[in-house]
Amino acid sequence: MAARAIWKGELQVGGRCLPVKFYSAVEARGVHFRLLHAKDQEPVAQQMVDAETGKAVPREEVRKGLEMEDGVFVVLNPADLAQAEPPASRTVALSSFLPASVVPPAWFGRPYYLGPDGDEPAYFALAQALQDSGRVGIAHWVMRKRTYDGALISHKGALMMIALRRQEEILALDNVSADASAALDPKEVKLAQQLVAALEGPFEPESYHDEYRERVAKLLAAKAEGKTIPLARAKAKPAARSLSEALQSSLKAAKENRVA
Amino acid sequence: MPDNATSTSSFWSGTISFGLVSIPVDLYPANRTAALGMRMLGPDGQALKRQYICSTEGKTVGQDDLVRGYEVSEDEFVTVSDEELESLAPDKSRDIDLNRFVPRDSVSPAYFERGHYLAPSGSSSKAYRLLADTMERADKVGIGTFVMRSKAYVMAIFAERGILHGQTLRFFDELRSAKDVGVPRQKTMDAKLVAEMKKAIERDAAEKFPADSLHDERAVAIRSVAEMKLRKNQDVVQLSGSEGEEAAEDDEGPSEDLMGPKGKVIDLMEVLRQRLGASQDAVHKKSSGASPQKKRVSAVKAALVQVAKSARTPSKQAVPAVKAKATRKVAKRTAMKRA
Repeated sequence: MAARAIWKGELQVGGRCLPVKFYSAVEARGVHFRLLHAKDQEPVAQQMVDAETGKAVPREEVRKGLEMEDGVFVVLNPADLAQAEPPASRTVALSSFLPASVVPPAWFGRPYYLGPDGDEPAYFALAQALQDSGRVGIAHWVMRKRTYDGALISHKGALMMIALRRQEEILALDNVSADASAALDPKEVKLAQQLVAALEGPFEPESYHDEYRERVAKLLAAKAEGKTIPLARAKAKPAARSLSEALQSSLKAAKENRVA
Repeated sequence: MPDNATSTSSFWSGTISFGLVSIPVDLYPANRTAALGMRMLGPDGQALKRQYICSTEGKTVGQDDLVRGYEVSEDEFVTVSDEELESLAPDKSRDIDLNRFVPRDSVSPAYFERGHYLAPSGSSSKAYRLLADTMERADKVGIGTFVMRSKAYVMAIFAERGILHGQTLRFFDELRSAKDVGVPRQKTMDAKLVAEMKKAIERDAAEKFPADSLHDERAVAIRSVAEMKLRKNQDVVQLSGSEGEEAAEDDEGPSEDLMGPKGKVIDLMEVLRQRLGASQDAVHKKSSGASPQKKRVSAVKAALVQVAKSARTPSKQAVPAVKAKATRKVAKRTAMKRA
């Protein structure tokens, strides 16, 4: 079933204006619990109260306060926050195209699919061109009263925009290097290289499952039927030996696995 | 605010299992919420706290009287205890099972959820160096699985300049397909259009990631509005450190899970220097000497800073009067966020 678009914009590329729809690419799969009152198993409601008097403050009267210096806050009312909003715009501006490898992984945030909103040929041509060039577009836009930066990529033939985090959200260790002068044992280096080679393979995201989530779902289903299920136990692991020995044994095991 | 380069806290320690080789590591978050540090306040600036009320009785419910419920059908709940959930943790071990190495460009950033640094812990960093060196030479990304706080994670581990960092990945079923959301299938490919698009890409090709220009414009805008009000002594209140519930950002702030505990702040750079003899390029050191805020100050922002500075004096005079009015002693709020 098609999802609902969360926003419509216009991608400015190569003198063209490419209309696109934004869709969330993330599917929430977590089990969502609600808080209940233990006594009667009824859901509880949340409310904000004056911390001193305990008097309830209606939602529309709740304000945000920004700390300006130690303990000094400025109360911001809705008009103040509205003043800080960027002017609305449909434009998604692409400022540059970078080799995919220069975007540090930690900067990637939430992904969105872009769908064509007219001009399908140009949409697929851009996806193809991005794919062929190995580059990602750096974009800037205003969506739902917030400014965004993003990386435009081609994902399995479709256009995808991955929001980029901000400098303030990144712990950067740019250009930090480990001391390379400390010598490694050439024999161990060789074994490690062989072990990495033995464990090489394609990235298969579909082969990993959130077992915990699956077990929680199972537990809930069983409880709903009034049953109980046995609990799983942790397994032990083999004891460690010297680095060389461990590498050798691992390599042997990896090779045997491969043959099998 | 902590400075950009170094401060964070290790919040998980475990062991990378590379074959039968064990490499003890500490995990440090590479992402954090760029919180403006806003609090929930009442219309007159009074500190607020969150409270739960029973929907049938209308009375306040304390933390001890809350249970977690899963809605199996409308208004019908199955309750689950913390103990039950803990017992479902897939494995109590602290192993990051590194069992596959894949080509670097095969892991789409669409899967990236959160960034971490992995620093060597324990007495020896030899095995850590060996792994980082080998991965870097082979230009491979390691895929590992592990359990943290009762939850299973898949992590892509990268080696760069002798340092390991990782991205926890979304599970396959957490990433929709283009088909799922209704992106149509490609029907024809217009070679001329593709060439035109490639030309446009080439024309704006660049090689450097513009980290310095990616900053939170909203935070800057809100702060400047607040500076203005502070200067006019409008709606200025004084609160003690723990008063008032923290305001959650309503956009996509990181979830509570992997951000790690607040509090203990240590210097990751110092950890890496001690354990790996890590150092920073001289050139880079010079440029990062200025704080990130300073680096990206434009003429407009420089002017705002001036405004802010001039605002300090009147505000300090104004505060005591407000303070007398607003000083409150409040019991420490009880954290219900985890629930």
